[in-house]
Amino acid sequence: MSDKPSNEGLLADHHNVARHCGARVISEYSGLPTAAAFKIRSNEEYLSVNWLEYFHKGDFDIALIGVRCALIGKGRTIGAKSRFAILNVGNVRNTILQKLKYVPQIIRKAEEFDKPHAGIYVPQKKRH
Amino acid sequence: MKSDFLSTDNDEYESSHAFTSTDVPEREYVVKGWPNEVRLQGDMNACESIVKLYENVSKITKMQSNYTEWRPATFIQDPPAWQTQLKNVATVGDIIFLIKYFGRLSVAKRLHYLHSIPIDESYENPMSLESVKGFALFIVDNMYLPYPDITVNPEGHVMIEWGMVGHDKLILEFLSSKHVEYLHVLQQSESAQQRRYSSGVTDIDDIADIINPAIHNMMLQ
Repeated sequence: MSDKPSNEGLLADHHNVARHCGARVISEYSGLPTAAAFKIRSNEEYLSVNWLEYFHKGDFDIALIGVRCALIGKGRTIGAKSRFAILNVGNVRNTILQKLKYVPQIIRKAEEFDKPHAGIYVPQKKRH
Repeated sequence: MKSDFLSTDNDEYESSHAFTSTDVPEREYVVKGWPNEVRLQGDMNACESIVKLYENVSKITKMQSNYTEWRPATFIQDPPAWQTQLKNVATVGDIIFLIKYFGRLSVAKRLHYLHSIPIDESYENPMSLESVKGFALFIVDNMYLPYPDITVNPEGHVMIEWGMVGHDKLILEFLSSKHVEYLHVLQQSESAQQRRYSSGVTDIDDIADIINPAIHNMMLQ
């Protein structure tokens, strides 16, 4: 698998993605994202995430600044109580495989104002 | 002092004699307890402490058994009445008010916060009225449950979680005022391959029976 996917390529297992989590899905106790942050809506094909290595390899802080700018650039609001959940691509694949007996596709889906945009694809019939 | 619970088999004797240490013959006394009455044989003074004790136990037993006597005043109405009241409200704000009225102030405060914060993402839906109704019916009907972590997912459904780091986690998503989806993750400290899960969709009326063992186990951990 290529380490640098094209605009529509699979992400490597050792890479990482970030999921923007709004204040509504942040735990009142821990301040961390809850399960609600990773719920794929019924009319969506995938869970939107951002590929961190697009901006920087190894330093998540720098990469997240890039992600934040990309999201704001396409009109998203990053609230003061928002958080980013960082997920390792390989761990996501293994966990979903274990639970759903299905290997999810984690694919880069570059957008005009959000180049590192990616999606975690789980078919509707596999979500329960 | 004559007990309200006490009577003798002989009304004529009871009305004409005071209970003094020198004036009480041995005879049978009936203590009107609840749910049963007991019969004591012997001197009234000797039996007095037993009579008092039995009266107190009877009162407590009766109060605990009679559901409406010890519940807060707001719960005196039959469950179907308050459930109907909840189902008929038209706004999320009204439901929050009712939850507060039923005594779950922390839950009402959290819902009010979630309802009032602006939505960060354009694709997120506002809080679903039907989902909030379902959650309210559940949380008011199960007052004994510990306070959960309450969130709202992008579809606007209320989601609640109980869990401890390294132990079990229980997640409920209120899909409507009638249905709820649950996920119970056992032993989170295990690796993903070794974790066990149970999940499904059920009626809100039935979910308490499903989650009670999980809640009980988490409280013990």
